[in-house]
Amino acid sequence: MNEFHDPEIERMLGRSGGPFPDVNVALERVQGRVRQAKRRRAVVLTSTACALLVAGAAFAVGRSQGTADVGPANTGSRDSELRPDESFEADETTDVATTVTVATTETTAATTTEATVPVATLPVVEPVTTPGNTNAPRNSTAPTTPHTTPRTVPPTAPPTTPAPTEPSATTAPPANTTTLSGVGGSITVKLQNGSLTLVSSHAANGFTVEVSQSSGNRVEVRFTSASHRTKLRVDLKNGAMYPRTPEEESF
Amino acid sequence: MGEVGEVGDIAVVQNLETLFRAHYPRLVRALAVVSGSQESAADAVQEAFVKAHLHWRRIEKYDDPVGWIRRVAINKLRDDHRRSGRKEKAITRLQADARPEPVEWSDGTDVAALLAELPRQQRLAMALFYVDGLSVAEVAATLDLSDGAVKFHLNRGRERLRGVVTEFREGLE
Repeated sequence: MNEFHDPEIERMLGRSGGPFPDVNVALERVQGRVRQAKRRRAVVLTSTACALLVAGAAFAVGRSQGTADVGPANTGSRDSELRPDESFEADETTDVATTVTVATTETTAATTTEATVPVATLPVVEPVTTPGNTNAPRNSTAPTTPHTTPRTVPPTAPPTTPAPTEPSATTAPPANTTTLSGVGGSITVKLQNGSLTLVSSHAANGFTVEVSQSSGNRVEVRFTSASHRTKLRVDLKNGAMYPRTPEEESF
Repeated sequence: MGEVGEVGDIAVVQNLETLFRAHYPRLVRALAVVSGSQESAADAVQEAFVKAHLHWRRIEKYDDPVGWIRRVAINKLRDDHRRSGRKEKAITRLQADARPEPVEWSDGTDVAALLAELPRQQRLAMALFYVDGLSVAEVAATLDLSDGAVKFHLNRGRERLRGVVTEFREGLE
């Protein structure tokens, strides 16, 4: 230490270092920077935690959906139901693909039925008159011929895209009657004087029928068997009929 | 220093404040000799103390926490110097005076200009030895050099400073 002791150099360098800084001012600045650094750190931690939570939630949702797809209660495909209106309320149970035909005729070429259930509140009940007719003609020129595809596909079969049949402008009757078919049966609904009315309902073999609502803005009929349930529903919205036919197995 | 939220924090604040009051002025002045700017030196030292506060539980276990703070400050100063290299070159290109503020010695010698002529490592060794008051061994530990290398730098630096001062004085006479 002594060999390098040099007061002149020491003073020279000391002067070059400038005056002694104010420690209190510097201390306040350091305190502010520490607070700032802690805030930044907290923000980073919070952001990271949020990102992890969102990722975890997304993973859990994806996983639960994957489980539901292979579950025994959902062996069929999804979303093959008739949805003319995207804003239609989706309050149904898990839907199974069905082949649904909506006809705008007065009569129905129904599938084989065991029971014809007239609705007590209905003004008109039309029983099925042609049982066993599974090959109804698709002649759209006949005013009384429905465009109906009888359901012969089991519920677990691949879905077919249902489509409403547009009546011919020259031959079709007025679009005031709709027929819906499902696995459990079929119904015919009429629109008259701004109100829906259940005209008839036919349960398939092994199904029982239950009318939830038969008139007004909604008509809803459920067909239930030991392992399957078909819910046929028609809603009246803005003067038009919107049918829904969710199916459910092993409920 | 910092937010006092819990008992541990209070201890950190007390320990660091003591260290800060004892070492901050000397450290700032020593690094001002190296950088030529007390402002940048103060910024580097403050940044080092902030880091020390944030990692104090680890740093307080070191043999020489102040040595750690000093090294962090020197590294920060070095990084700032590298970062400002482009800026200085641009200023030089524009023929602006990029030299530090002149510090006149009693006889009119610009000490800052004299120091600027020394190699950076030599300047650093001399500043830590003569301004911060470290021993040769402490300077060696801080700069990660051997004692002999520090002695070499101190010797050469002192000779060059003395030589320049002598030449300047002779020129005036």
